[in-house]
Amino acid sequence: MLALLEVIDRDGRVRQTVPVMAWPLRLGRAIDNDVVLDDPHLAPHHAQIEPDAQGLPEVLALPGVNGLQRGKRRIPPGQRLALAGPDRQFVAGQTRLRLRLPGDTLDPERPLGPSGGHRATLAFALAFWLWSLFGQWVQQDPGAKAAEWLPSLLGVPLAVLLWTVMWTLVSKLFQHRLDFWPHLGVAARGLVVIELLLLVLPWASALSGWALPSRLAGGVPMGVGAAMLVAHARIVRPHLQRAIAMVVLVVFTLGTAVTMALNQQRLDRWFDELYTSLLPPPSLLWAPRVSPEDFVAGSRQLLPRLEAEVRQAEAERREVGDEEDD
Amino acid sequence: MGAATAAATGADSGDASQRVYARARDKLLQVRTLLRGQDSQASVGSGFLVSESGHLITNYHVVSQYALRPGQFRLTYTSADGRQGALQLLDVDVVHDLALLKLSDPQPLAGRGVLTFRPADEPMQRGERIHALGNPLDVGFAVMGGLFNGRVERNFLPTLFFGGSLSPGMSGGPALDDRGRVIGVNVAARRDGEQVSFLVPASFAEALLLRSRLAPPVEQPMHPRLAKQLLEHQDRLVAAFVAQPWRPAGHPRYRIPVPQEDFMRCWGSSNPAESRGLQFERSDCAMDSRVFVSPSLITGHLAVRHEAYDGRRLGALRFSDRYSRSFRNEQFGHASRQQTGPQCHERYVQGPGLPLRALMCLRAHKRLAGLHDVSLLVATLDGRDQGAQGRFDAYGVSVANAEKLAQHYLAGFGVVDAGPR
Repeated sequence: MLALLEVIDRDGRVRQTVPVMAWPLRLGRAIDNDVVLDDPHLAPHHAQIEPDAQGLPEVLALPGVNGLQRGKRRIPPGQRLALAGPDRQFVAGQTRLRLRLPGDTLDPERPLGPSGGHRATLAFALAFWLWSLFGQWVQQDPGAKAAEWLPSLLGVPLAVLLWTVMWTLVSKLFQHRLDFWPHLGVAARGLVVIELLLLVLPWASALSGWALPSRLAGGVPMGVGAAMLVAHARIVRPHLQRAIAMVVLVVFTLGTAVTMALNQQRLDRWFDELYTSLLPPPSLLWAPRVSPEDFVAGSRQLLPRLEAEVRQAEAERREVGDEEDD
Repeated sequence: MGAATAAATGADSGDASQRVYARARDKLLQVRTLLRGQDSQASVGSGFLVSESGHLITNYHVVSQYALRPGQFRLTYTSADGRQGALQLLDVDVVHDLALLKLSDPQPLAGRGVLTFRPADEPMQRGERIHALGNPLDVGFAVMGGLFNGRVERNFLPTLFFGGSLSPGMSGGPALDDRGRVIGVNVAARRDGEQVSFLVPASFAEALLLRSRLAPPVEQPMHPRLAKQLLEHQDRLVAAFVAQPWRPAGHPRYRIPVPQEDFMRCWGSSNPAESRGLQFERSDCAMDSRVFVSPSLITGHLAVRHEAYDGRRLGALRFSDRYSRSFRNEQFGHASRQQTGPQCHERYVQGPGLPLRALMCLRAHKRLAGLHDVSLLVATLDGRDQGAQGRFDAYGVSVANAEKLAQHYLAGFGVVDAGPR
């Protein structure tokens, strides 16, 4: 076999393979072609593939209307296209074709499912469930009725299951397989990461007295959620993972920027959180303390900011010529 | 016999009211704030003539829109006999809710005489009759009889308790004794009670007249003047407040600052004893005296609150969760057209024998230069399953006084029988 010509469908899967036993290889709609393609945008004899003087394959666009395309480059009828590089793909009419040669380097074999397999996924899911139950226990007063456990006992697993099933069905639509475990793996790991960060960040602030980690906690569900979305999408459309990651990253970045800008405009601060509210128990009271006098004196650092806002309001009023705005 | 006496008293009262109204009628005016450029009224109140040259007194809140936006409003009067004319605003006493106005043209009302103030050396006796005059709800000039009940207790600003009815529209009208002398200016009524109304003592109106009768008419927004008066008020208020020691909160472990009730009113509450969850007792102290600047800005007052928590039925873990949630559940306002948003400063503080988490938030007034709202949120941190959280708010104070109040409040926290006080 000299080569293998593959017809690729819109999901990136190989629909048809044609072993090439002799050059040239002709393709088009007419039945006397070596490869007969059912595409109304093709000429009866649309293109011909053969080796050039150096023995490297090239494709010649035969007379017709649409010619060929490789990436964004169009090859009009009568011109040749060298099929060089690792990926020898081109488009004829609306049909995507790929030529493979003996000795081509192949992608490494992909493992089935997420690394660690089902056991790790189950461990993450179980960890999340137990954490939710613990959260429920903390929030309940002693002697709570059994019915009060229902939301965490059933609601949480049910919600995770529904989420996973939804993505499984999306996988079925695009990949023609269910992929339940990979999606559950993404959901369980993502939720554990969210809970972990929501636990760690406020405590980092409470223990250190440094406010920033607690402020950042507000963005955790959205940030990890965006990463989860990319991971789910990667299972559904593996060949689009880079594009999807870019889109999600851009949307997340823009969303974060807009939220922070709106906070700044509406609340005069970047983050939603105004102050750190987690109060550590006496045994974890590690952060340095100041005297009441120093604390009160420290509030003077707020004044320049307040004065600047007052000046800005004054300037805006002058600009508009507003007499009063109560 | 008793019924006959009552009937006679009722008749006397009716006669007196009739007499007082007949004498005062000519000096009584309805004061209206109109949108400049059209005749629709933005607010309606009452007023009364106090000088032969056409000065009249009303409430600041009746003319507040004009005081803040003189370019957009104009002031007019209507007398009981239907005469109308323009008014000028000369000055206000925003703290006591009074305004001094003048007829733009005194001629149409010339020769009507004036209402005189009851001399300070003739103090009113509880139970004396009062006749409040004005134009309630814009339905027509009226006289409302009632009784004098002394000064309102626990009010920082001197206010008279009028046992009678006042309705919107009567604001700024005079309250007269049986001889037709002004003892106060109608200002407000409680809607949650029966015949509980309030008067500004006439002495403040008299002082305003003396001080500003020659002042030029107000043509620019009065914010600088209001800010000056509010700054003077907060100086007096803060000095009086910090001069008072805190009252004990009655907690077995903590000293928690609870204010004296000289000019604050405190209410307590707690959750049911049989509750399975967090036990708490709450105290809420606030001042009834507040200064009206505009419908969306009431300032010049203080509030102190605390909650003492006992989580021994819950255990340390659950208590810690509830305690933090309670600390989180506080609001400090948003940026508005009048005030900046809150800017906050938070630290762990070592109080006398007691570690505290303290948060201090400041908001600046955008048009009332030098005035700020300050809020302090404090939580004790020494208990695994008990603690106390307090909040102190001061509205419309200077930065120096905000600091003084913050120091005073923080010094109120401690452990019972530990640390100096």
